[in-house]
Amino acid sequence: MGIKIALAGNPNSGKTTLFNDLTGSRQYVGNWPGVTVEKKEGKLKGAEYKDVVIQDLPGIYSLSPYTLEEVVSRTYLVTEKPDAIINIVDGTNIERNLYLTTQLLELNIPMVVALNMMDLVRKNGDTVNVKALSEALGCEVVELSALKGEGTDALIKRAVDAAKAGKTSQSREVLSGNVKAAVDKIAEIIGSASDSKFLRFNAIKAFERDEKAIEGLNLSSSQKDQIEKVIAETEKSMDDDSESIITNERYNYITGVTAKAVKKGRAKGELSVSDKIDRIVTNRVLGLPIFAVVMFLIYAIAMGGWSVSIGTAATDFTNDVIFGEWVPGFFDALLGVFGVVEGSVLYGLIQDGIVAGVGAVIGFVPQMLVLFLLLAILEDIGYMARVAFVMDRIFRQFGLSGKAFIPCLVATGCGVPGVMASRTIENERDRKMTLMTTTFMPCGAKLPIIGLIAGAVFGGSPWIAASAYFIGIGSIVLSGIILKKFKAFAGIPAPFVMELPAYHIPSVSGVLRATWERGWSFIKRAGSVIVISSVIIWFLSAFGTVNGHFGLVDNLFEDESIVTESYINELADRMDVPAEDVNAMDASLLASVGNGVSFVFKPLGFGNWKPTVATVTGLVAKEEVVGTFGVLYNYDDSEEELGEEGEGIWPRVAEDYTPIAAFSFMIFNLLCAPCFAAIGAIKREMNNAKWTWAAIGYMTGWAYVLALIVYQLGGLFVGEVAFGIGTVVGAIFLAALLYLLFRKGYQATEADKNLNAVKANA
Amino acid sequence: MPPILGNIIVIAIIVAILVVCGKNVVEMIRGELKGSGCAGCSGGCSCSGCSSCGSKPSDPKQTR
Repeated sequence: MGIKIALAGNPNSGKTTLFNDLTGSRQYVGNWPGVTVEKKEGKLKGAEYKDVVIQDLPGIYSLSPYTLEEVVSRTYLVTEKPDAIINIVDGTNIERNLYLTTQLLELNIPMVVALNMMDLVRKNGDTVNVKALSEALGCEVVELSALKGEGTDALIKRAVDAAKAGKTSQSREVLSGNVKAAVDKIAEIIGSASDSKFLRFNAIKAFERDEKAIEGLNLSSSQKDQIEKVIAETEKSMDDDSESIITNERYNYITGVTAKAVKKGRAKGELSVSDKIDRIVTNRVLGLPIFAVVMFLIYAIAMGGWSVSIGTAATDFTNDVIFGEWVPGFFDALLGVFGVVEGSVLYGLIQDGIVAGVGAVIGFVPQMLVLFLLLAILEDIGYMARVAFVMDRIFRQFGLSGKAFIPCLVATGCGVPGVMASRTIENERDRKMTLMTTTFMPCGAKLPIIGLIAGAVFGGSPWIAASAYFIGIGSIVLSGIILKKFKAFAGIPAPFVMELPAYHIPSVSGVLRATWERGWSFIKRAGSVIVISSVIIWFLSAFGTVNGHFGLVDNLFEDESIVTESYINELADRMDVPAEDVNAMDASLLASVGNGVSFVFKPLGFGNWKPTVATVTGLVAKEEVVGTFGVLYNYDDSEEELGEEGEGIWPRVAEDYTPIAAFSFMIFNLLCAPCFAAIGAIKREMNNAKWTWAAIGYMTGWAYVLALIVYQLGGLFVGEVAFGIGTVVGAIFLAALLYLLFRKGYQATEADKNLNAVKANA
Repeated sequence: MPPILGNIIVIAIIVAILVVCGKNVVEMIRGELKGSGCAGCSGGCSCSGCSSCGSKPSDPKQTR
């Protein structure tokens, strides 16, 4: 007969580390039924434990009914009745963690407390008397360091033994005086309406007026009235509300427990090293500038043109040498062995299609790896958690919550987990707004676009690379301000309480693993999506109709009897280019299709078929924008082949765009509708087709307006664009944007009190 | 090697690569647009089996 053990604990207490250690790869991940909360279960490692299933519950601070995670955990414990609970407690934050422990003990399920992070506890100079703690709580306590794998075996043995024995913890009285008497009375009133195992738990929940718990008991009106009378009397005598009364009682009990078992190494009020650093990093005045400088340096080192920009140096080498000389040279030799001659269709497909397309994207992997490495270091040392706190101060000025910034931080790796991270936002309106704006952040796949524009057009300027990040943040803040003024999103910003983990030296293996995971995914994707896209793009750009003749456009263009002067003029007119700039690719299938749509992007400065096609292919995968450029610019002129001098495509790209047009192109592609994967994630989280389309429409509209304003007004300012109808439209858009930003808008009232995700899902 | 044989071999290799890649891409796009994937992410560009779902991405059974 199988054994079920539930793993419960606060967020950041080390549950995931322990769960991964206990189950290894024998895990199953899904969603809890009806809600978007992750469900993880796995079989315990070890032949002797093959029937033991570990259920990882979401990280929670209590068993109250306020968040989906709490409701899910409580429902599981009460309905599934696991054979045992492992309550993982962060030893460096015992008081806060024990709050949940007191509630779990009331469930009368065999329990073992795993006191985690004991290595940090000792390092802090604190001591925990495990025996005294165990005696005070009435249950087994095991020391653990999940990260180092210490104590896991003893923990599992105790937990499995407890499950098999079915022995519950020795009851310890958490409540006292009037409160205890009131809860005892309520337990009598509830009587047989509750499972005897959970009577105590239900009585306390009823005292707290927990709606979900009371609903589950199916009490009669008379019972409910009696319970309400008991609560009212106690509230009056203690001059406090019932929830606060119970909270106080629990913390009084916890204070007693820790007084017996915990000895702090630091004097009360003394600041830890983390606290001292936070005084500067989260300072009211310095916090934001420090963040801006840190992110600028990161992007400058990864993608700038400085001497310390190791990412750029490595990318230059990859583009110019590896994919500029070695790889084309290798394939040239290899194809020669098979008798595939240069100039043939097959040679063109491989060199100008696949190698050029994939190479253009893979070339940015070094920059990407450096950026991911630096971001992983920041995450691991604990700084990124502070960023959400710093941003909350600014967000709150505009009616937003810093909690909405956490998905944005996640989205700098990939927009998909960023979108999923919006589940932590309880307020349904804020959650929708976050879903509509999270992918404004430049994800890993967008880095090649930034790298290409910054490198090809702006000479590797670190300002351009860093500006992409701040444009993303700026778009999120401005969108939040604008959307909050509409009734659909109006509401009071949710309070933001978050735990700041202590700073610590980054774990080398952890950082390298996180960097490699992201980088390898990117490379694998290049090997699938980019290969297919490059072949399709190559085919559509290599074949076309030239003056009524269909075939390879390069070959057809060599035939003077087909390519007449009048045809050249007609093609130049159709493509809106000077006659002397017309080349074979302008007659391709892709050029015809792209040209039909490119007028849409003319006001943005890149109304040419190549960037149009690149932008559209970006819907499949954002890195495909650069892959498409790689194919289209690699073989642009039949008389000249790139790669012989190792120049790559950058000079050709730079020729086609003015700086302001290139910047406008970058802005549009960074902010417009995300890739299919992110759209799918938004669709899943919105669970509503109308809202999904609204999100896509909003992002694309925002990107278009911003790019238009930048090109038309910015171009006029720097002298690249003449005054015209575009300028007027740009000015109108800017005025409209300013109006939406500064108007009073819909004022949230009590009636708009935030629709909670728990109620929304009820 | 006679050029015609060499060309056939290269074409066969390219076709095989394209078929394998193509199938992967079609499945991936279908899955992405349906919003499937593990709960850690929906199999997006960062999903090579990240730590949030263990060593490989799994297909969740959402019982709604």
